Amino acid sequence: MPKYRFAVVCSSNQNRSMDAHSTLRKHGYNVESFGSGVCVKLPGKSIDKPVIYEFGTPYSLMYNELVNTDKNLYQTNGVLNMLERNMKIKDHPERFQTTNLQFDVIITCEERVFDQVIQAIDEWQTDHLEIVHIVNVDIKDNFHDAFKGSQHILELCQMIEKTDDLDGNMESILKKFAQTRKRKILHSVAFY
Amino acid sequence: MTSVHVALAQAHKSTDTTQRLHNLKIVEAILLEQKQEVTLNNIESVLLFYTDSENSLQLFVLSFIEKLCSLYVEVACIPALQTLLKFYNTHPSPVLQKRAILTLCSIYKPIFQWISASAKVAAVHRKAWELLCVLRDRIVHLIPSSVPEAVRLSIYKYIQRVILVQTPVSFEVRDRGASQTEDNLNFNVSTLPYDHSLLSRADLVTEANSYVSLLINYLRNPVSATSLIVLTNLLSEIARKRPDYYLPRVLQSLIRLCQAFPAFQPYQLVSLKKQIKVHFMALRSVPLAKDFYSQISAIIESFGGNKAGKPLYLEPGAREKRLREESSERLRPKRTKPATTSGSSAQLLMRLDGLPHHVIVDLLLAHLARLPTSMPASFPQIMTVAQLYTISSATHKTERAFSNGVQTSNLKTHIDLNLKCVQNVEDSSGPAGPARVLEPATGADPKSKHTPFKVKPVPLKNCDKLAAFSRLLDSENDLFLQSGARKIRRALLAKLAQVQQVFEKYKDPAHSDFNDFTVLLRDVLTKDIRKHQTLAVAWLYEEYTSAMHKRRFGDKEIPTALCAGSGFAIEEAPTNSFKVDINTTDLEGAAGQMSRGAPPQYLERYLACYDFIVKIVKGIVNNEHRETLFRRFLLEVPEVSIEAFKAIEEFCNDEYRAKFGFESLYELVLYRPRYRAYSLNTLLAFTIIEKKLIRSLSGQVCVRLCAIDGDIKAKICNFAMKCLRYLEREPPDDVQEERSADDSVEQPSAGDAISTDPSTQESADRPSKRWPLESVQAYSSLFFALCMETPEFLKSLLPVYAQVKSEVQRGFLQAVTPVVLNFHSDAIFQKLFQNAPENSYQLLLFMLEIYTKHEPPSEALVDCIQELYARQKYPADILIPVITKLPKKDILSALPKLVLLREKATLKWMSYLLERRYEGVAPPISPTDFLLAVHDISVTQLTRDGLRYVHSHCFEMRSVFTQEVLANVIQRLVDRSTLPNLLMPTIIKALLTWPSLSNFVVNVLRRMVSKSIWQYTSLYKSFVKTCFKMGQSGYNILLELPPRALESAFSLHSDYRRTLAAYLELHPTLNVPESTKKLVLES
Repeated sequence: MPKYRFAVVCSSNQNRSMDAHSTLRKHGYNVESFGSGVCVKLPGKSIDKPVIYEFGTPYSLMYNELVNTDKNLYQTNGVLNMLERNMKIKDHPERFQTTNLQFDVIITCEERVFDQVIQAIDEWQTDHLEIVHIVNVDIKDNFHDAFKGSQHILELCQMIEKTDDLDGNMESILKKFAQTRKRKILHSVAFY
Repeated sequence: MTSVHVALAQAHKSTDTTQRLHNLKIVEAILLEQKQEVTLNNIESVLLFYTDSENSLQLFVLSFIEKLCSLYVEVACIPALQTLLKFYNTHPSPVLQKRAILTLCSIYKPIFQWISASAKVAAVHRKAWELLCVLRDRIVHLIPSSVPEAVRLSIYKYIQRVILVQTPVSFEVRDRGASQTEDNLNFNVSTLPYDHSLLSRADLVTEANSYVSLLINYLRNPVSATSLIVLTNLLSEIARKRPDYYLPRVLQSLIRLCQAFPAFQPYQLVSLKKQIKVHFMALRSVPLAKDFYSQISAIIESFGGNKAGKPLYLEPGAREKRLREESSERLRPKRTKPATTSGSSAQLLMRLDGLPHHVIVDLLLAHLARLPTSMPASFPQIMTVAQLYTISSATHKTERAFSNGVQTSNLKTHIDLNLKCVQNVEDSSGPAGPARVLEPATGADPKSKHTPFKVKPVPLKNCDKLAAFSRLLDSENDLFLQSGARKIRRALLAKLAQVQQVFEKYKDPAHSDFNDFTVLLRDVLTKDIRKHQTLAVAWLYEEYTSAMHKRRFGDKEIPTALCAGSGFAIEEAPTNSFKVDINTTDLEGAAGQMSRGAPPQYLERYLACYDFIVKIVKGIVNNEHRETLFRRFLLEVPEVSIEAFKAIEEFCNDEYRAKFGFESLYELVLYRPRYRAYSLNTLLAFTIIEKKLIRSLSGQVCVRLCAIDGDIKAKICNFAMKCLRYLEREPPDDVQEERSADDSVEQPSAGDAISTDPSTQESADRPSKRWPLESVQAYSSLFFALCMETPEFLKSLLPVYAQVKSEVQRGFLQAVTPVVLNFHSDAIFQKLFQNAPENSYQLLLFMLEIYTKHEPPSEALVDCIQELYARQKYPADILIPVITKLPKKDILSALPKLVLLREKATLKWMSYLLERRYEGVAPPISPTDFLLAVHDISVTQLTRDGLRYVHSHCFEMRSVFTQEVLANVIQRLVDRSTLPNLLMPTIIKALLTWPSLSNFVVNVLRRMVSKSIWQYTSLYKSFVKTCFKMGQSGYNILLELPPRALESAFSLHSDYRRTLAAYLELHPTLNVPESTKKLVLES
């Protein structure tokens, strides 16, 4: 039985966080994924014309809409495949700021997301008093890097899961991870 | 439905943990959902499961405690706290320990809330508070030990919770009007009644203060990067939630941290900097952070941050820079379309578009006077944006919101009038006052949207402004809070007051009615400053911002008044308000007054307003702790004037209001770094004045400051030492004159101890000037007040003591008594005795004696003293205070030295040794053994007098040396093979003290004959004398002596033979040897 509750957060809860969610779930971890942006953005016809959805819109609905709009385009750019994968994991993208769940470790995929998560926790004003570690692992928002990043997140989670004293060993785990994977990471601790 | 009892019974019976947990959850559900009555028995039955070895059950109990206390605190708190206490005694695993701390953290607030809300404090409240305190202390003291990281982080969180609960909510948070949920989470000591019989608000705040110091201390010496990150988060939250108490200190510590980061991993440093940057961004918008603004900005910039975020006021030049950027931005074609507005609004917008933003706001201000008392709903929105008018992105929005707002407020006509006026003004030679109303510049296209305008005051001839202003001022506090309109309206009223002064300055007769507004405002403030305090603060800020703005163009001088740099000026410190002129001493240069030069020109108006307000406030300040009004005008205003400090000094000099005055100085030192030097100087000057009460109050404040900040402590200690060293010098002339006029100063009895000290005696004999006791007390009071908290500081007293005159030494001895009585342990003595100067021995001895007066010394101290004595570093006096705890053999070996001491000392050590000094501690030596030991001391020329005194004093202690004791001693002495020299004096004195011992003495004397007493020359004379004094029984003993011995006895006194002959003649039948009879009767 997994010891710790993990959350993976990216901007739109589509690519990076869902890839990591999928990988971690396959390995039996207790994991959830979230987005921290205002809305869900998918690549559109051009870089300045993203397809925008609200959080909570089912992946299936997005899939159908995109198929109807321009199946070839979204098939080619890999969005449909991504949505198919996401549909198998959960129903819809979730926003981190609105969740009530509690976690032991929150892994973010971008510095901006890291800031948003910290700000959200700071603003929650809950009275639960649980310690949460927030770790940022920078991952570029493309399929290749998302896959590579999810493997690294898996490694990190495996290292974390092995320890019994999470708070005491987190520093050494991150140090080891940063050295072996040569990744830019950030770490913070909060109570919520 | 399953009852609690059934579920509990099943939980007890079951051996399977899952089943037990299930049953317990049923019990929890029943109790928490109030399906059955929550009784103490039920609760205790569940809580008993904490003893179970299963972690899951223990965690359940902890979670149960949390839930229960949030709902039924009055029933649950005592068993819950008791369980937690027992839980700690079982030394739980780190996971459980962490959970238990967080549980306590969670229940701390509801329990505190419950106790503070109780109108009558019952035993249960007291018990709950006691338990809470015990647990709190236990947890806080866990940190220094090597606890696991999780436990440490939980303790930090717990301390933060205690701080937030025990500190009143800040002005700003109050003003903001927190929501109900936020109120719940932010419950704090503010609601505690001042007359609560169990909890004292002042004590709780002081305690919270010390916890903040603790956290800051941990921040300075972090154990790990995680700890440091958590500490920065927690401290930042504390500073944000309680800014007026902790913000400056937290900022200082964070800034200090940024100046020297600990050596961590690169990723940890990056994370830490990121956190700190976020905290700085949040904290610098708090008004109290204004003094740190430049430092914070520099740090944020060095971390690679932007300068976003609106400070309370803009630095000189910053506003102009923004204006320039803004105007260039406005002239650039806009890409975004304006939002659609209604027809009339759009029309108005068209007119407003192109006007500089500050003119829009000025128009708004001018029309403020026309607004109704109850504002339309959209008003706050307009004003909020209007307040941000210096930010370029807000300008366009301001225009739109303003146009909408004036539509809903029916002000369109007035706006139209003004705009018409703007466009129709032809006279460009009007007074060149500051920007108020616009006029098209010559040569510019009046139809152009972006026409540059020249600015002139708004003509408002037809408005009945005075009545409107009056109404606005009267209704200042009447607007309900949540609309936000009150705050905005205040800000704008303040702006209006500031605008008025501009008109006044330029003497524009067209706007003389604005003068009346200031008069109105001043009247309102004079009438009820408490009610309008926020308006007054807002007014001051407006003046200050305007002054800073003006400085850019006008005055170039640097403000010198009060803000004399960031360093301390204590080295230049105390004023000459005390009698002795310390300017002529070492303190010279330290005694200068703070420079009180004329205020800079550009602050003249601000200071005039501030002084006006201070004058009003000064008159109504009382001595209550809750007095926040004056405090607000010290802590929240941008600049504090000389007048305010004068007012504080006045309070400090007034015994009734001194407490409040010192509290103000305390807060200024802590919370206004710019005024720290001056405030500290003022405070320190009061520590050496002659009024005892005031001196003592100032000393207390200094001690509190020392406990908070290391730098302040260093400065205060430095000052205290300088004052102390000043006493090493000759007193100044004026003191000498006064002294000679008053020779009847009471000498402290403690001074007796030093009167025989040869060195001091010599100095006392010297005809020289003397320090009066009052001056000694004045100069040393701060030092001794500091020693009360930090006894180690006494180390510095020893060299001074060795140097000063005898009267000063007496003063020191008198003052040191309470300090010594306050010692928590005697470990300090061990430090003091190491390397103490030779002449300070008497002081040390005196202190040791006071300390051991009421409680016995520790073994460590006794060992230390014995060692010092053994090394012959100190004379035998040093043993006196600890003599009760010395081993018998050591006492006996030291006895020959002890008897050499002077009489007073002898009386003391004998009393300590032979009488019961401490309750429950038996004397280390019995009187019999003592007296026997005295007899063993060889009588020499050196010891004779001392021994004689000790011996005589034994017989004065009748309660100790009873006749049984003496008989025993004499008997044992006589039984010895060799009779001691003191035997006969002992027999004689015993007989005199206890005449009933005569028969026993006769027997002893007879026994002495058998021991050939005549062979002991020193004893024999006394023996014969005693025998003669004893009468017939003595004669009989004498007649038993051998003739030669008897003959030598007759040679002692001529009457002896005659007396004995007469006795023989009277008793012819006595069995006396013939030779003896012949010898007696031969004459």
